[in-house]
Amino acid sequence: MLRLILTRLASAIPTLLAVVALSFLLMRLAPGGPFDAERALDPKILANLRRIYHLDLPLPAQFGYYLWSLLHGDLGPSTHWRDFSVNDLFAKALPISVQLGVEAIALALVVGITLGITGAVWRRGPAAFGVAALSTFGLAVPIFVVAPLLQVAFGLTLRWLPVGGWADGAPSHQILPVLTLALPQIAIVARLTQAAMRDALAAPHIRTLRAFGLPAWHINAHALRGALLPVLSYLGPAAAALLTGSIVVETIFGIPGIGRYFVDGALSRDYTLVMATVVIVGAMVVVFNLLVDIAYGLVDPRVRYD
Amino acid sequence: MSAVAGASPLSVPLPLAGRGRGWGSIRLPHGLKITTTPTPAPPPPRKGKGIAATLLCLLPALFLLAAPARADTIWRRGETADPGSLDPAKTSTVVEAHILDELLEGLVTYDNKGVLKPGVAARWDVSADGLIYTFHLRPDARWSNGAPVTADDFVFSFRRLMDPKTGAGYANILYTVKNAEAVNTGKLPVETLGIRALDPATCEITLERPTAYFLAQLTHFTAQPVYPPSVAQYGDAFARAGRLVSNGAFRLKSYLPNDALVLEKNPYFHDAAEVALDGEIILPLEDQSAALRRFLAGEIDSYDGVPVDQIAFVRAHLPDAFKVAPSLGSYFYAFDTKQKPFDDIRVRKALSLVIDREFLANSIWGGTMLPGYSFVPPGMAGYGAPSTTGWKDESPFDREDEAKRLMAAAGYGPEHPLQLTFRMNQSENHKATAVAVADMWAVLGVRTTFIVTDATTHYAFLASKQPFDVVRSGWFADYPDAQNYLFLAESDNPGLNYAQFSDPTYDALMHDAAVQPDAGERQKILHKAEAVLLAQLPYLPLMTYQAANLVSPKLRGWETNVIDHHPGRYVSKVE
Repeated sequence: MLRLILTRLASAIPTLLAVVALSFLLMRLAPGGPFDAERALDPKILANLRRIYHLDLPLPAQFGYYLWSLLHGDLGPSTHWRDFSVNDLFAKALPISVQLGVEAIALALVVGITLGITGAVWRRGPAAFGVAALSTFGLAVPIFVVAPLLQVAFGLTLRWLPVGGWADGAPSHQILPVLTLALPQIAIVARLTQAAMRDALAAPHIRTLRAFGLPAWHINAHALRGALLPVLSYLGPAAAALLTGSIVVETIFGIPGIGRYFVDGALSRDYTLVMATVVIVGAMVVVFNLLVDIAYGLVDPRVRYD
Repeated sequence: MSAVAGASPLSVPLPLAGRGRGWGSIRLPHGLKITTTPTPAPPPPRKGKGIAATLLCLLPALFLLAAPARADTIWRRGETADPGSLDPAKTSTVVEAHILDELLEGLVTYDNKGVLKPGVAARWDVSADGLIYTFHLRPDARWSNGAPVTADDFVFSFRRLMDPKTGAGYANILYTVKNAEAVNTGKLPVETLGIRALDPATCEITLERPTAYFLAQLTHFTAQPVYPPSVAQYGDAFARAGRLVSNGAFRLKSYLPNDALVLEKNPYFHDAAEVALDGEIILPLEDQSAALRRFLAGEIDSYDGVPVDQIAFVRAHLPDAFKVAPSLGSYFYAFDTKQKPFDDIRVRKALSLVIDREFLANSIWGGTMLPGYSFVPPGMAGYGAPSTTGWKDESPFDREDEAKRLMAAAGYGPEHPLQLTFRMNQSENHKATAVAVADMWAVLGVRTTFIVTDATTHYAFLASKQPFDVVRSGWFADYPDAQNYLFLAESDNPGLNYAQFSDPTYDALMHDAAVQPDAGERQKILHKAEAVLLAQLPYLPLMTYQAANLVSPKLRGWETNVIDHHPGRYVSKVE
């Protein structure tokens, strides 16, 4: 197990380096730079600014400079949020995105797995229909539609919840964003669980258990263990995506997470901000895939890391 | 009214009291209390239903927390974007200017009607040749830590602005100050800049040449002061909550990017007795539709934008809150006047004649724009009514005939149609406008191809000076003077003269205006220059912007004005 963790972490370093180098190049290939705005800067002033942000250096030197800072844990200055370093911005925004992401994943797992089991155990009748309808809705309706609908329903019509804002993470301000984030995940988790659970319930070992006359909940519990494997595989990338924030949810609900930095940074050519997001997302994907592999070893007896 | 004390309730985290068992009393932000009768404790949850039961009990508590109750004297102010900086040497956007105006006060400033008035300077003298301005600072001007605002603070701030090491993007606005350009480009030391402190209460600024709009320029954020000890202590990172010392009506309490800026009343402000608000919460809300919903829910008191596709709804349902007023912004297209066939005035004029500006302003933009027949927007201080195109009131049919005649004379017609490429930045409104304009041009047989890019690519393309046919452009005044518009066509303004317009007559008029000491004469010359521009049409004026705001009727002292400037020191809030 330890060996697995170490080899995976070691192989993550070249992967992340390649990701950093590639996105560094891609950002520089995009037309324009961080100081191109509606009001064009005087060329003399532009020269000052490029010097201050080391953008006057040749590209390899800029990359070397960036890597050197990165190795020291310095993500660089932001060219858009000019009073802050990227470290400052992420120190505040990342915990917020992670918090919402964890809550959304927890909700998606609890509700999704419950729905999936329900749909698999009662194959016909209103329960299965309800599960199918809900998961189809969750998959088909994009979150930029769901979010305003929830705002209108709970914020404006019923007046139960605030329409938006973060308010230092007040619970009432988290309900709608978490719900919006979780809805498509609930749908996917429910579908995955339902399909896997159906297969598992039809498997020979479950039939054997039935033949022994074990109670239904006991049989279902056995089937569920096998049925969770596809959910687990899906969870790795899904968690990385959810924990790094969603531009749509953060913009509509006014949440100060890092999802917006990715897009805002790219649009305003805030190189360091985009690079930092890439590094964080890359690291999260590596870490979560590793966690999923470890969990596989725990859940699936056929997989053992020795 | 008392200032917000150190332990302001504004940032008190919302406690989730009671944890689902009957919550007694819940403390809401702003010190308000909602007391409820404790509900009986639920029966011990049965296995399997525990989570659901707990959740059910929690829900009403959460809803109560969301109840729209808050302190009366906090202006919750939605703005369309997050400020990129609160350092007046590094700001650039309109939103940043709005926020800095709450925090900082320059030598002169604007009131809530957009009228220039004394700021830190109580009065000033101008030398007979118009070159030397002597500002007498008010004795009661104080920083938010109680220190007096001195002439040396302004000397420090101006020098810092022009110091090339600062990298101030807008420093060139104040190139009107003596030696500013040479200092900013590193040719002269900062000490040679034309500003000095005669004594702590007197500041003298020497200009490069007489500049009629210099006082208006001093309202710009580049001329706002920074507190020298903070800059000495924190360097460029001084403009953060907990560090920023300001001299305006408010001071910064906290700031979380993309979330909120919390401002509290500055008790040391010289006019603090007249400031009714205890503070402001400025919320950057990029999504205009979401902001409208928050306004409807009463979560914000004002917002400086209205989504164009919701204008009809807003007009119908929020007539008292919807404020539209002309502002100093123009929406225009630019021709590359160095590029064939757009070097031909006949082609430019024909393309202008067939545009139905009323349709664009009223149908595409829902009446949030005004049809534009001038280059300088109406309402410019001292300029009076701008010059307009001569054919403004001709019938559309006459204009179309004239346009066809001009196109034919230039060699274009049905058998030889003009093909042009139009570049714009991505935006639904820009696209809808361009498609409508292309359709109007089609009556002349013009075939338009579109290139739509993201904003940065668009502006980088313009800055690169590559040849083009027609581009979308626009301008908002930095300071309310016609010169700040007309300089867009000066041949020695390579950065902003997107049309590459070069006309000796025009340049001569602009030079004459710059050195003309008499204000009235100067405006006449500027009018002549605008007439040249409208005859030559390097820029194709389409519309002038109006500022659209949603303002709760609870806010008093919020006035519409051409500079769309709404200082909180004049605003009060009633419930």
